[in-house]
Amino acid sequence: MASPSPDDLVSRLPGLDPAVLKALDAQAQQALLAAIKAAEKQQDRDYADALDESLKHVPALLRKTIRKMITG
Amino acid sequence: MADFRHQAELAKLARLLHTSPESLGFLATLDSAALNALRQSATRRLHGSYNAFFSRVAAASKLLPNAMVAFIAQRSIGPLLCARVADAMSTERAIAITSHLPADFMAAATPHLDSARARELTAALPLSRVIEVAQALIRQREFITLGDLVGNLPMSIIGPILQEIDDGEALLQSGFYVENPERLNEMLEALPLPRLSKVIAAAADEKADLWPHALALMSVVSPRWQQRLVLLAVEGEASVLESMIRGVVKHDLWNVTLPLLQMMPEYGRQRLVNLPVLDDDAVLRRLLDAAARHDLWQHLLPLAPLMNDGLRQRMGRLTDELSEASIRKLVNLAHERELWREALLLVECMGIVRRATITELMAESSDAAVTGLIATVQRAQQWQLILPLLATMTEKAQQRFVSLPLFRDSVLQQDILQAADSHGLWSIMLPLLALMPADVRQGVARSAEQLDAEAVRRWSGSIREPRHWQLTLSFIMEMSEGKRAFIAEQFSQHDDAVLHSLLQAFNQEGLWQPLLDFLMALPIPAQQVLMLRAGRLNPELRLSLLMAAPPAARDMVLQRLAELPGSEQATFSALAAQLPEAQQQGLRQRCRELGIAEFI
Repeated sequence: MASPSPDDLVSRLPGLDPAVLKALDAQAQQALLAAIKAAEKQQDRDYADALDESLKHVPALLRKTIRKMITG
Repeated sequence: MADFRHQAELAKLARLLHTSPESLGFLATLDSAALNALRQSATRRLHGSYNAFFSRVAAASKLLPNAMVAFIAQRSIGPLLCARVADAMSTERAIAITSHLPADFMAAATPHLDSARARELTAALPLSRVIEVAQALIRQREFITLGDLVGNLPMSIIGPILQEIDDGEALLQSGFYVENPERLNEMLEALPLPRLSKVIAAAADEKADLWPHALALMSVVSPRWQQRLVLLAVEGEASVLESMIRGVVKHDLWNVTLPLLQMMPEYGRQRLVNLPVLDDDAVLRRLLDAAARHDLWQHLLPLAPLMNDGLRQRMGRLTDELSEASIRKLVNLAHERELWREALLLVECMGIVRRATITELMAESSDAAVTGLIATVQRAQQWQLILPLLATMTEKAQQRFVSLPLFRDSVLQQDILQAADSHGLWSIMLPLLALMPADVRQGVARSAEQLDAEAVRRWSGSIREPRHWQLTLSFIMEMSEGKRAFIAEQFSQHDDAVLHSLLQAFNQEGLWQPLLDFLMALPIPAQQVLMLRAGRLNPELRLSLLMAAPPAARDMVLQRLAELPGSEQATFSALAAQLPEAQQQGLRQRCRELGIAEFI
């Protein structure tokens, strides 16, 4: 299995001592990158779901405006 | 090997990444410090990705009163977003809002906070609220978060929280995630004693399967606390220890548990090691395997004297399954840690092949190591265990052993003779005597003079091999004349079977010289006794002895024969009449020269 782009993993793990990643073989690095990406996606979904849930309590007419206001 | 720190770090990282620790098996090569660094970094990435968004929400919330924000937070925002927004707020404002939130909601939000932020906010809360949140975290079984808080907040906050946590499982579970062992010591100090008993009871409740957590805790706290916790376990009900061993077996935690056993008083270790749960080959195999894999012999061997005989036998038998490399480690460790007293108890129960391996390794050991071994044997009075091993060594190795300076010690000599006597090991001892340097053998002979009549008779009564009679008689020749007479007297009191074996030993080989030397060295009354008994056993033997004797010994034999009662002399004469006439004449001539009656 090919090693993930070093930048890809390093950029996702800010401030991490490079020695930690070097201690992992290519396969483990690949698996770690996949786990972090999956966590990011999960977090995106959680935030989106939580935001949707929150906006349900806002009057329908204002929802779009408020969503735009807070999501920028 | 159970690395609890590693397990705890993996669990924390798994929670952050919304996955299970098992699915992170590819990180097994990282140590706990690397895992911690990885988690901190991933936290920065995940928590930092929406900073701008949450800052805007936090800023927008300023437009509303705190009570309204708290209301919306609960009803609409939910704990996840609320935690992120709280990350982006000033501490003062976040605390002001939390005063309107129930503890359960705060507890649900806390795991989503950045750890440092969670600590900061918790520290700023009134103590009563902190306790409420802690209790809510327990209800929600958020032990990683609770462990992080109790592990990092000042003890001025944690102390009162601990007073309020009346849940042994929660203490164990959250303690497992505390990173700093020193903090665990402080926590234990702050816990009331009955609470500690609850912790042990929680561990013993096998439904929760918390012995790994309990042992993880015990393995990292200070020795003082290790001792106290181990004592609590020992002094509790037998079921606690039983449960602990089942937990240890289930999770293969011998490497953690065996070192802790050293903290137990002897009665506790004895109680533990003889629990029925250990009386099982499968369990003992895993224990021995752990000892071999993790170099735990120094912890396992001291248990050998505490095992009941059945268990020790079982354990010894199972060592047959270990590799030679493991046995070599055991021998080296017994040398290095002076654990031969304990090791020999196990060796005694091993099969013949393993005993041979151990003997071989002993023989290969340096003089210093062997001296240490012998010194231990002497201190522990285990000659009965080492002598059978020595017996299987090569003659060269045996010679090396018995030539060690230690064997010049008269107390040791007496002890080894005592062991040979009380354990019936003369058949091993006699060949060793022959291999000793002359001065050592003489020393041992002097020590043997202390043997009483019963011991001498046990010794001579146990001899079965002709060579051993020869060795015995030559050994006796090293003793004083008085002692030789005493020994001859004991010999003469043996039943016919023993004396037959003595005389046959020389007759078979045609080697009468050692017996003649022995007879020559005896006082006359002792010679008379033995000649009388020899004739009664087998009259022909006296004739064989006479004909085999060199001149000086022949004179002695003739003199003793001349002193025999008339009927004995007549029997002898009848036998001697079968000798060629020239020989008979020679004997008669010698009788005349000696001034004794011509009974031939």
